[in-house]
Amino acid sequence: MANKRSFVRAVLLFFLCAVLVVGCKTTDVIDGLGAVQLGGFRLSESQVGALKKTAVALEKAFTDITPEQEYYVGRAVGATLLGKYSPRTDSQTVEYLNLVGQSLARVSDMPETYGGYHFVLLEDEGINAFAAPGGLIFISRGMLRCCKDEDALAAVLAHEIAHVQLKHGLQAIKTSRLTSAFSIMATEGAKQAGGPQLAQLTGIFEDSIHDVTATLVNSGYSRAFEREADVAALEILRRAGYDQRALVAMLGEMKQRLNPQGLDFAKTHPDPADRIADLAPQLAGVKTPAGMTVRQQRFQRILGSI
Amino acid sequence: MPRKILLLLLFCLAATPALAKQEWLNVAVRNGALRQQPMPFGKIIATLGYGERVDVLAEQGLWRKVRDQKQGREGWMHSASLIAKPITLKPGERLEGGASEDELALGGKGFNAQVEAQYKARGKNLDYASVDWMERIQVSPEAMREFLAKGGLQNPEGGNTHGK
Repeated sequence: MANKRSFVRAVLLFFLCAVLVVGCKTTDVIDGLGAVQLGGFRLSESQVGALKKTAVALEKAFTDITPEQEYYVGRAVGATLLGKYSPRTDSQTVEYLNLVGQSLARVSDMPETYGGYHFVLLEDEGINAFAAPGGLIFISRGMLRCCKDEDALAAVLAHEIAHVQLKHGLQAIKTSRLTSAFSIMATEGAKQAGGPQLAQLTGIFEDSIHDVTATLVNSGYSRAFEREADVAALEILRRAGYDQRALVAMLGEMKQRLNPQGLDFAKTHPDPADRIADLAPQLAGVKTPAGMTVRQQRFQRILGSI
Repeated sequence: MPRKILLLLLFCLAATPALAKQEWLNVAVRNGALRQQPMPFGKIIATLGYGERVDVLAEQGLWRKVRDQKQGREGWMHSASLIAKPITLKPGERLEGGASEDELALGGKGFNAQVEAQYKARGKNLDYASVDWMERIQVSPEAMREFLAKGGLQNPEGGNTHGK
């Protein structure tokens, strides 16, 4: 009997481990386990609880961050960037930038976010553009100087929208932090967070924001992420009716202006020449879309003197 | 012995009702546009709030024809603005369908306004006032329409073909 029980136990544990590793709907399987009774062997409630917590922690990743949580991460990243650089607030610039931005965001694969897309120009001479998770998008004056027309500006913004859509910012957060955050959320159950748990969560939040801003400002994304964002940007430009080749034109201008020792895009992004080479095959046969002259004129009128 | 293993496997199969097709979805954005047509710039009939539930009536590419459970309004929403898992709970509200405690825990939990307030209090060089200003930036539908039309960009009603 003892042998039989330990065999069943072994099979059961093996099965649970297998499910844990596979990770699909683990919690659903474990949820029902309190009722398991096989050959006199029964998992106690606390054993089920412990297994469930482990399973929950294992399943959690950046994809489990709710849109609302992503929004709070984005706000904190935005508050950090705006603590460092001042935004340009004249209404003509703000409106124009947001019209260009919205015309792109609406045709992207993620046209709406929890808090929406919002675009600002930063008073920064370095060549920079940042996308905080959730859709707060920043472009520096230095970057604007790399844009000769509205289509080039659209290319920069489309690339940043692509980072939001692809959730690249959230992926900069170390998985271990999310695992800890979700464990705290699981243990507190449906109760309101408070006291030590709130302090713990805030600590994890602080570290997570640091992960994202350090990636945006210092280390940059991987070349693979940048390529992914460039490809998505081309599709967004096409759908909106902008010239896809403006992305390459902008990168060429950036190559001219970039100081290789700079602390801006020179440090955080792949060499523009590499990005141009990556994009070349996708642009064969692309024709100039209508309306270039009108767009060029309004760009000059509104942003030409900045 | 094999009978018991079989029983266990059968049990595991039976214990996955949550995999059954869920008919309603949650709005995953704070101001979800319910549009007359399945187009990026289609006319907005209503705005649905975060966590509101909608029934899916039809699909067209990345668009879903939905009906909101509260008021029965029908229109089109982009699939990226909808999410299958329960994401929010209003005070006193219970989730139907026997949601687990962990799912309940995710409603408004984790990184939320409370955490932001604490983070802000600890804050070094954080400019939340500018973030709030940035979030208030809106472009009107009229300005958008004019911008698109004059710039030769796509048809203001969204006559492009994206979203296969």
